Amino acid sequence: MEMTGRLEAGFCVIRVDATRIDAAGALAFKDRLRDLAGDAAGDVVLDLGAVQFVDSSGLGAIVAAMKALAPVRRLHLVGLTSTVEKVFRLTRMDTVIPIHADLAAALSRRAG
Amino acid sequence: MAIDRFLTFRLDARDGEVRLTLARMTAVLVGLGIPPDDRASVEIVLAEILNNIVEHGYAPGDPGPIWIALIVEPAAVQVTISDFGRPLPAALLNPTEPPDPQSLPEGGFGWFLIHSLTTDLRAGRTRTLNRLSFRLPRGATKSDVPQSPPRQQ
Repeated sequence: MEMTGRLEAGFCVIRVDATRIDAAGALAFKDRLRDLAGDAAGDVVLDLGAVQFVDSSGLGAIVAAMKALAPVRRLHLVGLTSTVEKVFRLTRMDTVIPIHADLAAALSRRAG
Repeated sequence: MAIDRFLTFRLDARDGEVRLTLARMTAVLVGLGIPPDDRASVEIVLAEILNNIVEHGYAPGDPGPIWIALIVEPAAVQVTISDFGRPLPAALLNPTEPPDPQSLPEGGFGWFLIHSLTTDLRAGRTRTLNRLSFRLPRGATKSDVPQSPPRQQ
């Protein structure tokens, strides 16, 4: 899956350039995220600004990624588009995964 | 009087075709001026049902056909999905509790999403053809919309 990572302000910022995280792409997403997050220290910010759609498999993959990073590193989400936001809201997973309006809002929080 | 709009799609039960069909469907709904939140409901529910048919309905390596019919009405989108795969376990038609977010679930979201966004969910089977029908209320969450009376099938 097309994803890129960089370090910024103590965070590992990973941007998903694919437009969908769905049943066909959930495994590739998990593998790629693990590679990009690596063993770096900071929290991970996942930028979903280009992602138009996440299905239940994609949601499960994001939760799995969050659990794989815990307890040392947290996963933050930014840039949720409307349909993606709806999936998180309906399943109430927005209550357990920190979601920020944009990258600046996420980076303004202290890592750790 | 508002005119209903009738759309049909056919696909083989493969991940890639599910993705393409959802993209085509969304493009058509954009063209019809269907608001984003209504389109989101259609795409979320159709994705879960089509994925379910791909994963559990047809045998691996033997992807059969799926037909989708959508009737876009002013208050709801009425959907019928047909396939020749294994029938849906009847228990899945009952509303389910959502997975507890605190337990950080990695699955169990699919049928919860379907039940959250649909009304009048019904399944039938004639010989080898499965038929699943439901309504997606528009412009409101399901709980804001009264259940429609039973419709003739």
